[in-house]
This record gives sequence, structure tokens and C-alpha cells, in this order.
Amino acid sequence: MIRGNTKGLDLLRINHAGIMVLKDGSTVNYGVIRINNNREVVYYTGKGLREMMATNIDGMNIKKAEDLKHLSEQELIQSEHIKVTPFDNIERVVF
Amino acid sequence: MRIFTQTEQNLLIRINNRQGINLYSLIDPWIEGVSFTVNTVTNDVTILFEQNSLVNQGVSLNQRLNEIQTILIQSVNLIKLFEEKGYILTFRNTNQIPNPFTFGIFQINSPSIPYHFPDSRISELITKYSTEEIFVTPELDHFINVDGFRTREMVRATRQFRVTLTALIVAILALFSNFGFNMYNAFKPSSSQKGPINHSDSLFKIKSSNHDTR
Repeated sequence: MIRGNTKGLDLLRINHAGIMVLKDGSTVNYGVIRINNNREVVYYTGKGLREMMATNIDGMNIKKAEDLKHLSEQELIQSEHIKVTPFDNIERVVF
Repeated sequence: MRIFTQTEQNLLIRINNRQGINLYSLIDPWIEGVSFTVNTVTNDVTILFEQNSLVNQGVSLNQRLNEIQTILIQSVNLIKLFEEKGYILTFRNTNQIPNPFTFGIFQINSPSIPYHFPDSRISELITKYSTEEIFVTPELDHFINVDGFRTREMVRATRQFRVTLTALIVAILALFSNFGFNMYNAFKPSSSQKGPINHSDSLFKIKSSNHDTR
């Protein structure tokens, strides 16, 4: 699938965060890290966004966020802070 | 309704042109380096300002905060106002919204400064409209492109003023014509003054004859 065939794929830009609906029916929060070969999107999941951005000004959260930022992408994929989703699996990008 | 600022007019044009189909798309040009975390249960809104972006833009946190608050407040209040007046409709296009969720344009790995939005009324509106899409009715297009951002009340008032003015002009013209006609009749030389009085008028005769029979 190429970009543009699914509604809202043009919204998937680097550093953009929003919500998309996947073909399995789930609605997920995403924060785009990069687009691979115009075929798949690598993004921070809702969990990744929540834990790595540390919106609570709380010592524990900030430390955890800093620790997570030092992990590799593979480690973050294993811990489900990052996901890779092919465009084929995206139903539509809400925003 | 009321008079709209230039920014509000730009926001309305974006909604009408389908560039602002939801709150995120609507404020997209103004939120570089800013993200919003929205809790749909508690209606909490946290704004995160990317420090690098502030440095690159050469603005202080207070300036940027003021800009973002202004655009947010204007946007959600405009959507609410125009939804209530029937110019736009809003609807939720997805069943499950992750809670909390984040939207914006920012680098996650760079340091950021969080700010909790204090006004609960505006936070509720942000939460509501963050998860809804905007459907535009032809009325909005008419409002922008035909009426030039003038409200229905203003258009109606202008129309009534024109009708009243036209009626007034017609009445004044009629008054002057009538006055002129009367003046003409009053001062024009009458035909009775030109010749002698005709005593052989038939009406006179009848009256005279009636008088005679008594």
C-alpha cells in the first residue's frame, strides 16, 4: 500500500502525535518516529508517550522517563513503548 | 453573534476549507513544538512545550504559552459557538479513544516543560472537541463567502434598513409630488377667470327650477 490510499496517512509525519484506527479495530495513540520506505510507520505507542514524556512533575516519573530514553529502539519495541505498523494494517488516521 | 478577529476569521476559513476537520488539524499551523495530553475522564489538559523549539523560535515560555492559550481558547469557543448556531456539526468518528492520549508536533526525546491548563471549562471543551470531527454545513460557506463574516442578525438589520430607507424615500417623493401638484393647482390660472360666468349652466337651472316650485 502506498501513502494516500488510506484516509489520513498524510498526517503521519515525523514528530507528529495523534490517534489512528487499526484494521484489527483498535484505536491507538501514536507519536511518529519515522516512516520506513513509505510502507510502515515506526511510532511511540500510547504507553511510550505517557511514560517517556513524563507530564507529571513527579520525581519517579521523570527518572523512569530518563531511563527509558537511554534504551535502544529494539528494547523499546520489546517493552511495547515503540511499535512498527505497516500501512496495510492502518484503517485510518483520525488526527 | 459578534465581530470576529482576524485569527478567528482564519480559523473559520480553515474549517470551511476542510483544513480543520478536527481540533488538531484546525490549530496545526500554530502548534510547532507543542503537545497536548488530554485525559478524557478527568478532562485534564496538559500542554508540553519543547525547550529546543522555544530556543529556535526565540520566544520565552510565557510568550509561547500566551500564544497557545489564545489559539486554543479561540478555537474551542468558535467551534462551540458555530455548533450552537447550526453552522457546523460535530460528531465522534471513533468508538474507542485511548485515555489519556497525546497529540501535537514535538520531539519526544527532547526536554520539555509541562503546563497544566487551569481553566476547567476550557479543558472540558478541549477534551470534547479533541475527539470529535467537524462537519461543515453550506451555511458556514454562505457566512464566509457571501455575507463576509457578517452575522445573520447584521445581514437582516442591513436589509431592513435598506427597505425602510427605500420606503422613506418613496414616501418623501410622494409627499413632494403631492405638494407640487397642489401648489400647481392653487396657483395655475383657472378657466373660470378667463371668461364670463355662464349663467345658463344646467345645474343652476335645475336648482332654480326647484326653488321656483316651492
